[in-house]
Amino acid sequence: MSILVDKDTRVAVQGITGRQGSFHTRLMLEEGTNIVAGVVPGKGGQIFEGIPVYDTILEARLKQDINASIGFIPPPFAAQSILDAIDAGLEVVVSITDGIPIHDMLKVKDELKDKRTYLIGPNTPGLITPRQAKLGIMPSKAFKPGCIGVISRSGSLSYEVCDELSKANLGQSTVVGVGGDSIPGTTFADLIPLFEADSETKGIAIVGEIGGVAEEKAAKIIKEFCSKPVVALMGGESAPPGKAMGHAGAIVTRGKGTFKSKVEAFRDAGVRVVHKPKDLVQALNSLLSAHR
Amino acid sequence: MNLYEYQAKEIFAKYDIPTPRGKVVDGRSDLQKAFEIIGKDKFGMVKSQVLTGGRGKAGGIKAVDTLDQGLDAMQGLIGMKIKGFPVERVLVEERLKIKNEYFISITLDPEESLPVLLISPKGGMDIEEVAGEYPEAIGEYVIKLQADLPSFAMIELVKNLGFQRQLWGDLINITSKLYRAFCEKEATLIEINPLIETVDGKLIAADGRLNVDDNALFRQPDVSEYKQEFKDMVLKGKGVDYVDLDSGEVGVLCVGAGMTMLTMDLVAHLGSKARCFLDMSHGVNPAGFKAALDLLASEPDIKYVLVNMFGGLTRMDEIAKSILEAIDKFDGKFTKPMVLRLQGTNADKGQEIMREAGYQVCSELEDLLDRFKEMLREEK
Repeated sequence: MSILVDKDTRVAVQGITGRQGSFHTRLMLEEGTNIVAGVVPGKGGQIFEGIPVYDTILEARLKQDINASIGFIPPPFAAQSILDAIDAGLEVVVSITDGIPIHDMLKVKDELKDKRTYLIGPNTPGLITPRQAKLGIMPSKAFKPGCIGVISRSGSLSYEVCDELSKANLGQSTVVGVGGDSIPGTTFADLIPLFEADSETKGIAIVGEIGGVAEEKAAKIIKEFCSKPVVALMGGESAPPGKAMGHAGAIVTRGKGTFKSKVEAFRDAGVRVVHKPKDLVQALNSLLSAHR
Repeated sequence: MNLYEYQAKEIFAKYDIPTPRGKVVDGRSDLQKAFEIIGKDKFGMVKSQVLTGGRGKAGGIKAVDTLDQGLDAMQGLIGMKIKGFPVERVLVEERLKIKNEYFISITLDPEESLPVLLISPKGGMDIEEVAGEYPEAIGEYVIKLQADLPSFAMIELVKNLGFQRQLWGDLINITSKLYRAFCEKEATLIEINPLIETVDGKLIAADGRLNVDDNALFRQPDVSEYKQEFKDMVLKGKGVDYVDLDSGEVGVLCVGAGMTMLTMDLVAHLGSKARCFLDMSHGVNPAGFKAALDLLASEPDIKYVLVNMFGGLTRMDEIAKSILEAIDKFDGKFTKPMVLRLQGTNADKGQEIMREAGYQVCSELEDLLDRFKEMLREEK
């Protein structure tokens, strides 16, 4: 088991013939991902690595029974490609693109409101169920199948955390990067119930940071619904308020979203908060053995 | 990109939002022009242009009566630092006869993923305190992606806040223009504080803030023109995300914003403080590193450099080569003490390249922090 994607997920790659798209399609195939279609307007009818290419995602959806997509699309066109994938009724839509204009994302979020689609990202390395499905650009080496569900706003930190987990023999059920933008698709709070319901996931690791209210909302859900041990690695303690720290999401707004408010919300929900990747591994290990 | 007050007001003027008469000034001849534009009866206010709040309380705004006083004020302000931000220019404006000060702001509500309008009859310097003490004095309206603000809802809003009837028209008019600018310029924040009601009943934007989404600059030509004035935007053009942290002694260089932020925290836990944040995510090449090292070398407050890299797709041998090539451009003399950690893809090769060039490199985070501690001890 896992959440959102596994070996049976049927994936379309938007932008499959581009520089990034073609490079990462090969790496995703190596991980075992079931890629059944590519989408590039104007290149319909071509074959890439044995995968048929279609002009639109709707056409791909009609010809192949796809249920997920990942897009390697430049920022000016990325929001439209996400809207196309939502329109096609896909269950999981991943957007790697870093730099989508925020006002474009407002329209995407509006469109998502009454849909069942999980949009992962944008500005994310994607998600991975190790050795089954990778819809993303993360280095496969850092990941290993196992029982920890991982959710992260930061790409680089999630690699480091998973690398430490893997080295300590704590593999991952599914790792989801929700992305660093201030307007993300799927949030921590959306993912916690999925991990709670997944029988394979025994513990949850959250990699959070200042800005936005994703951690506070996640804490609320954890307090109400989550029976599994949760540990959070939090970044941004020393960041001065009011500064955007690279991730647009890390803007401290209107009193909410501070390091303190997030840590307090987590502690109140019984989540152990740590400061270093190694401490996260230790905390999970001890909680898991106590939980058994 | 956060614009200076004078730039925000230039955009306001394009939307017919009334602003005080005036001119941005960085020297004597410009000041003379500003004086002529304003006229001696209304001369003048001299306002330092810095991207931080609270400049009035910090002595960054001077009221003057004569050209000579204006010159003194300008010379006193330019070169001064306000909360760590150096003043390079002043905005010289007419003096307004103030009856009341109001507040209008449109920003993004991350919880709703929608724009939200905030409006208050208690504008001025302490709007954050007002928000805390009298939340009922701030009206809030979540805008549901419509093209225009609905006028009935606006009337309700300003009426309930106790604005006088004769102001409603102008107030709603300015708010609508502000919303149009917010959408068209793809802002993340647009704000007038204070919006001044003059003694003769006119509304004028006495101060202005406009933050535009960096990701939208490619299709915002008139805002993009201001880019060259911001160090961080110039670096961003080279693939380096730079955040000036105003005080501290360590230049932190990483790949990935999350990694950079966590590294800053770890530096703070060791009793030191990061002076700046450099995320090389899009600048892993010699030119990117050269730009980053230039900045680290030029900033006198930065005494140490801490490099913490965990590469997924970024290959550590490429990073090592890029760093060395950038250092070469300093004639091989980048003199600030530096500790390095290279981990992840091709870490072995990267570490070897750095060692051969005479640099010590760590592979584990704990070792990096230990070495950093040692460096602090040696230098102090």
